[in-house]
Amino acid sequence: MNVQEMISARGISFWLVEKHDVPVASIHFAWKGGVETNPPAQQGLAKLATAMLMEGAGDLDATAFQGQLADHGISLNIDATRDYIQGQLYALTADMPKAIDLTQLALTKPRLEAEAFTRTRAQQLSSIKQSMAEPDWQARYRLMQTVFGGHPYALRGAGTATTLATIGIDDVKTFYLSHIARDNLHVVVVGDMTADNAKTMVDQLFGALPDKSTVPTVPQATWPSRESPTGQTIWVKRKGAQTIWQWALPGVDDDDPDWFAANVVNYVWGGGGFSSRLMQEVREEQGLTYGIGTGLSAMEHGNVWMGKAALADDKVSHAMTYVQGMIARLHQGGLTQDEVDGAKTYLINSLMLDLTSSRGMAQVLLDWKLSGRAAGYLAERTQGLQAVTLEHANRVAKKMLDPAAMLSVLVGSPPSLPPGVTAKEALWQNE
Amino acid sequence: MTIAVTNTHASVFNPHVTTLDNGLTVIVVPSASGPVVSHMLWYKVGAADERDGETGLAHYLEHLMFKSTKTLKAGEFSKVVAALGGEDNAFTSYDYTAYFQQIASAELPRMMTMEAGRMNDLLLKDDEVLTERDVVLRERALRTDDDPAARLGETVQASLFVHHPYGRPVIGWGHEVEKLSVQQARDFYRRWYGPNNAVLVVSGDVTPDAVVALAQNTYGKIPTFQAPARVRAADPVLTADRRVVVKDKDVQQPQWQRHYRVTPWRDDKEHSYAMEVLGEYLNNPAGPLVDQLVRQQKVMVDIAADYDGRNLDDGTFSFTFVPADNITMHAAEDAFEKLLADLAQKGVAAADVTAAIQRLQRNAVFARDSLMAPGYAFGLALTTGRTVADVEQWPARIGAVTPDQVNAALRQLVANPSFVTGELLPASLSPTVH
Repeated sequence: MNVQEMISARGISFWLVEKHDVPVASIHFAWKGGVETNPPAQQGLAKLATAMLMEGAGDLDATAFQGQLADHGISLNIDATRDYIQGQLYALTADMPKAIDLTQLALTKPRLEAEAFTRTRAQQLSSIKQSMAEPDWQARYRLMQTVFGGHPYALRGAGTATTLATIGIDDVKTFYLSHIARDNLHVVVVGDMTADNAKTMVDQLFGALPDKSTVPTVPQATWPSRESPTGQTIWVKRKGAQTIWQWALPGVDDDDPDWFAANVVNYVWGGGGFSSRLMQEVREEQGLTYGIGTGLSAMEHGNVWMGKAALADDKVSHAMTYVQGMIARLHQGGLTQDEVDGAKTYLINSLMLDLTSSRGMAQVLLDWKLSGRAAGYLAERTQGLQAVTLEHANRVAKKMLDPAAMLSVLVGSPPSLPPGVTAKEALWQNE
Repeated sequence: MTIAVTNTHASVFNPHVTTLDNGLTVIVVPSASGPVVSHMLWYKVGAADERDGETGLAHYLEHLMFKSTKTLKAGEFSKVVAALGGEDNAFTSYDYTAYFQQIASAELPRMMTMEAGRMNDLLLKDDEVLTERDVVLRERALRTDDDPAARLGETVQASLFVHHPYGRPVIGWGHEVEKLSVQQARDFYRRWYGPNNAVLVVSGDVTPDAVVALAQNTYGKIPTFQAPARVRAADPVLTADRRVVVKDKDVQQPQWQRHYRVTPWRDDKEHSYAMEVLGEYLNNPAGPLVDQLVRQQKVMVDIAADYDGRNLDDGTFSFTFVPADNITMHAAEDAFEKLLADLAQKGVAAADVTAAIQRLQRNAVFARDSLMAPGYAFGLALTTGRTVADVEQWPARIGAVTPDQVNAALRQLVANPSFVTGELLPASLSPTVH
C-alpha cells in the first residue's frame, strides 16, 4: 500500500492510493465535529443536517438528485458520527466526474426545502422509535449516560422527539456554515485514478467550501469522576427472552504509550472473537451466550472500554460473577506469552484483510488520518504492536482491568444478581 | 457510461473451473487484492433439507463443525486461523451451508488441510454437542425471540410457505432445537457432507494450477459418497387471505410488510430476470413507490421492495413500509395497493427498464472490488441449481430483459394470490380491518 501525500492546486491536502486493478474509485472524507457538538436542546441536528444533503441540490429536487445518483451507479453516503461528519463516495471510474458534480452540488447548494425537511425529520423520528424498541439500544443509552454524565457523549446522536421538534431549517444552515469548511476537512482517495485526476477532483469537490470552520469546542470527558463513579450496576427491568448485559471500564487514549499493549490485552480478554477468553470460557465451555466481547473505544474527547453479552435471565448472576473472576485473574497478571504472541500476530496480519477493497482501504486510511496518524502509519503500527512484551501487557492489565471499576447495565429480568451487588433501577427509555 | 456498460457485458469473474475425481467442484478466481486469499467451501444442504421434527439441524451442525475432529480440538480451527492473522466463520440458509476463511495467501495449504479434514473426520462428542445446543438456543433468543420484527418475519414466512420447508425458520423452532440429539447431528453429517456435495471457491492472490494441486492433495483424498436427492414438498396456491400481526409492548413504530411467493428461477428463468429488473425499478429511491407514496402523497415514512430469487425452489417478492405518523395502516395499505395496480395497468416505461438494467449491470464491476464476492456468487449459484455460466452471463441475461417482460412480471405479481401481509404494532394498536 503506497500512500501518497498530496496537495491540490487550491491547497487541500489529502492521501491517495492508486489502485488500477478494477475500474472503480472511493473518495472518503470527513469534517471534524460531529453529533457531540450539538447543544443538548438540539440533539439530532447533525444527523438531520447530513440527511438533508441527500434531499436535492441546485436545480435537482430530491427525486431527481437521487435518481441521477442511482442511474450512474454512484454510492454517496454522508452521516454524522460521534466526532465527525463522514462521507463515502464510490463509483466506477467512468462515472466519477458525475459523482463529483452531484456531491459538490449537495455540499454547496443543498435545496433545504420545507417539504423535504419535514419528511426527513419524520424519518429520523421513526428510526429513533425503532431503535428504542431494542434492549441493546436501551442498555447502550444507559451506559453512555452513566459514564459520561454531563458531557455531550451522554447525549443522543439522533435526538429525541422533543429536540427534533425544535430544530428548524435555519439551524441546519447554521450547522453547515460552522461545520463544513476546509480547515477541518480530511480526505482519502483510493482507486483507479492518477495523481493529477485526484487533485482536480478534490478541488472540484471541496475547493468552493469556506476556509474556516467554527465548530464549538467540546471539553475532554473524564471518567471516573465524582458525578460518574465506577463500580455501579444499573438495572432496567424488562420481561423478554433474555437479559442484555453491557459494561464499561475506563479506556485509554490512542496516543498513549500503553495503546498497543491495551489492544493486545483487549484481544486476549474479549476482542479476539472465538480466540478470546470470554468467548472460549463463557460460550464454548459453558454455553451461556451466543456472543460476548469487548472493544476499546478511543474517541476525540474521551475513552472507554466496553463489553457486552446476551444471557438467559437465570444465568446472569453466574455469568457476571464468572466474568468478574476472569477480570480479577487478568488483573493479577494472568496473560501468557502464547496469548500475547497470538494477539500480536492477529492484530498485525489481519489488517490486510481490511485493505482488499478500495472502500475498505479508504476507510482504514481515513480513520488513521482523523486520529492524527502519519501516512506511513502502517509500519509504525506494526512496529508498535511487535514491541509489546508480556510484561508490558500484564502491567496494562493490572492497571486497567480493575474488577471494582466495572460499571454494568442490565436490561432484562434476572431472578438474582451476584452476591454483594446492589442494582440501581432505571426506567425503560420511551421518548 | 457507454464504456462502463460495454465492460459489464463481458464475463464477470473469468473463473478457472475444475471437478476433482471425487466430484468436488473447484472454482478459482485470481485477483489483485493484496497477498490474501478467500477460501470458501459450500455444501449443497441447508435448512430446507431437514426432516420433519428436526428443524434447526443444518444450522446446529454448522456450529458443531467447529468442535473436535480427529486432528483438532474443539475451537482450535478458529484459533489457528486467528493466530495466523485470518478471519473465519460460517453461515446456513435454506439451500446451503458455507464455511470460509480470509487469510494470507501463504496459509492457504493449512486452510485446505483443516477444511478438508472436517469434511469427514468430525467427532461429534456428546458433551461438546450438548453445550453448543445451549449456544444455539441463546442465538435464537437474541435473533428472534427477543425481537418483535424478527418474530413477525418468521411468522410471515411460515404462513407463506405452508407445506414447503422454506416455511421453517433456518435456526429452527425452539421446541425442536432444544431436543436435537447427538445422533441426529451424526446422521445429518453422514447423509449430506462429502466432496461430491460441495463447491470450493478460492479467490485472491493465487494461481489456478497451484490451488487445484492443493485441492487434489487435501479434498481429493476424501472418497465420494452417495448424496441424497433434494426432494421437497411443493406448496399449494394460497386461497385464503392471510394477515399476521405481532403486537409488542416495546414497539413504538408500526411497520407493514407483504411477501409474495413467486415462480422459481429454475422453472422460468426469463421471468426471474424480469423480476430482478422489476425489483430494481420499484426499489429505486427515485422510483414510483418512494416518489409517490413518501414524497408526494406523504402516507409513508419509507417503503422498500425486494425480489429474492436466489433459491433452489420458490422465490419471494416483498414490500415493507413504515406508515406516516398521522396515517392509519389501513389508509397506507390502500394507497400502496392502488399505486401498484395503477403501475401494472399503465406499465413501466421502456426508458425506466433500460435505466434499471444499467444500474444492475454496474454491480458486476463493483463485485470485482471485493475479495469474497466470487466466493459468494459462485457458491450461491452452484448450491441453488445454477452453473458457472449462469453467473458469468448474468449481465447479458439482465441486459436481454424487455419492457414487455417486466410489465408481464408486474401484472403477474399484482394478480398473485399467494401472499401474506404482516403488521408489527405497538401493544395498544389494533390491526388493520378490511
